[in-house]
Amino acid sequence: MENNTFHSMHPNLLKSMVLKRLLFFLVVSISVFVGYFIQVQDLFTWVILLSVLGGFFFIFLGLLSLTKAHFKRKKFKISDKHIAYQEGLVFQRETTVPFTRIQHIEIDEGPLERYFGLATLSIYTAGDSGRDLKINGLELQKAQEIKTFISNFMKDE
Amino acid sequence: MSSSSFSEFRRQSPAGIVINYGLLLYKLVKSFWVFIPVLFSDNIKNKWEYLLFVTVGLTVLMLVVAIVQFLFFKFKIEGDQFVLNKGVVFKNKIAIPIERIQSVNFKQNILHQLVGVTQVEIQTAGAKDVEVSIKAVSKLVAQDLKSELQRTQSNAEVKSESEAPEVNLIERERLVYALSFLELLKVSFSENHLRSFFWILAITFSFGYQLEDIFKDWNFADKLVQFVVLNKEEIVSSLLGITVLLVSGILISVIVSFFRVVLRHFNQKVVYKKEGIEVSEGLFTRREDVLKISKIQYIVEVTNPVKKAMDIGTVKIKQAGSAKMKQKKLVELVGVKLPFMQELKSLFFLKEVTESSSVFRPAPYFVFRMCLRSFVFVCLVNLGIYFNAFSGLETLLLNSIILPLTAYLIYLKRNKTYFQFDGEKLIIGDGKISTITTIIEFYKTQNIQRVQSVIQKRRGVATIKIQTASGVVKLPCLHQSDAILIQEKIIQKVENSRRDWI
Repeated sequence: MENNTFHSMHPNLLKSMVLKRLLFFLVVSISVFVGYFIQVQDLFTWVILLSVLGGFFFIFLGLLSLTKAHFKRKKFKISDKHIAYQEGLVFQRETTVPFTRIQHIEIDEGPLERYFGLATLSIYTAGDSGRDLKINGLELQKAQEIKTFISNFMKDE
Repeated sequence: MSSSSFSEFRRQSPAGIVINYGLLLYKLVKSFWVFIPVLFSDNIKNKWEYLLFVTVGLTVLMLVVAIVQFLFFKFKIEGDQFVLNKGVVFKNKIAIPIERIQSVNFKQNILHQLVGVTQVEIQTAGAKDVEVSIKAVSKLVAQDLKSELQRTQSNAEVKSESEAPEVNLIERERLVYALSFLELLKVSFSENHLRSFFWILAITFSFGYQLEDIFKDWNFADKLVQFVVLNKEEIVSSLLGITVLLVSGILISVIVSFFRVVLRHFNQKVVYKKEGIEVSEGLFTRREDVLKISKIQYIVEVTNPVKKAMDIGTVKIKQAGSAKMKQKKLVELVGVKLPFMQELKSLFFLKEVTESSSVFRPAPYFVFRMCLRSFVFVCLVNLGIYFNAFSGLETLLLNSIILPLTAYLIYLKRNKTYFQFDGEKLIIGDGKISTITTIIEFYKTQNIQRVQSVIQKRRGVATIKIQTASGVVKLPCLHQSDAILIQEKIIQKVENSRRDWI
């Protein structure tokens, strides 16, 4: 468990990320569609609407192709005294939290995550909330392992 | 003082009803002030009857609410917990383990002072903890409660702490510093007026016409604004006009900062006490904060040429606290003389034999970024000048002031920015005209972040963000290798330090 290299996230995370974006796109386009369906009847507007949606779809495909790069940037590392996490495509961040400063740890599973057998590990310190560590896309088992590992460390202190 | 005085549930002082009422009234006015002008319009029939009816109704309702709030607000100390019950519809029971209490502070606004009670604020640290404030108790009860809490706390500490605490201790209680009114004047005079001046200038120019609408009912202000708007070109183009504008602008900003400083820092006093440094200040709202030395996360010293000439400086002290209380956790000692500043520093930070000191400076990219940002700023200013129909000569004149000034400010900032590791301390220099020095014992870091944009990565530049229990400290635009070095140094220190961050 303790080695000093950065690990990539579980491949299922990529699937879940793609699916999340797809769902988002579907929800947006369907609501636009339904909204217009109620109001507009003439053919011309339909043509415009469909072409706009088509345009959106291509933009969406472009964004989707970035998902893989985004996924590849996400990496985590656990040494025997701290946990580190890299993420971000345009603004690349590497956050390190020493175990001695951790206040508590949480594991969450959303519905989509559960489907892929993934979990989110949240680590809280006394710093500003929201800037603490939040690693999504760990296997549930792995997340629990990490949690016990850190909890044991905190108990020993 | 008997220990049993808090063992049973007790209510606040009956004056709490007044305080509750005042608070309700304040909330009401704050949320509905927009409708006040409606009351003065003549369009409503039987206006005064309605008004009387509503006023009486609201008064009675708020009085009832205030009394009920008072009756249902009870607190006690139960074993090692502070217990508080409040609320009628939404019952709220709070129990705080006393050992987790960070500080107990007193606060008195003008209403408290009138009815002779004190507000007690109990603060805890950590992500999910709560803040509690008891709105109104007599000063005596407040002090009893505080010492009772502290007694329980120190009992608990004796049990848990085996090794001696590594902090400086204050031996005897004494008043060390009190700010006189004259010094207060000096402080407000030496504040950063340039910033407020620019704000006033921007507001007058961009909202001149809107101001005219807003102040329609105000006869004098209306005439003034109308005069300024109508004769803007003449005012600006004449040298006298510019001088008048400048002087009045600076005068206004001095007055504004004077009121700000006096309201907040009136009669500022620092008393050394056993449990820490007690700071009390304020004109209408008097605050009494106790700084525990071990809980100080970092301090910021601010001086500028005017302050230096008058031999004063500002020390901002950042304490650990939960996110909600961030702003209030900042204690600002204004008008501190140099020797006292040294004394404070030696009190806050352990004396140490400095074995190593290394200085880092930002990469050239730092200057590049500032130039880029200033360029955008200058463009905006010129756009403003363009829309206000200045002549070509005036534009040239204004730019010949703004451009060298901007360049000079960038030059100053570049020279004043440095990051120095000095034993246990990290000293961060910053500032343009003023000199801002942040001193942080970096083993108190909560977590550390290295951030770089794609462009910065290509240029080998990164920013370090040090997250403390009292906000972020940034080291902008370091060489990437320096950034990684600093990151590793800090992490290693935090991991190996046996000292507690709080």
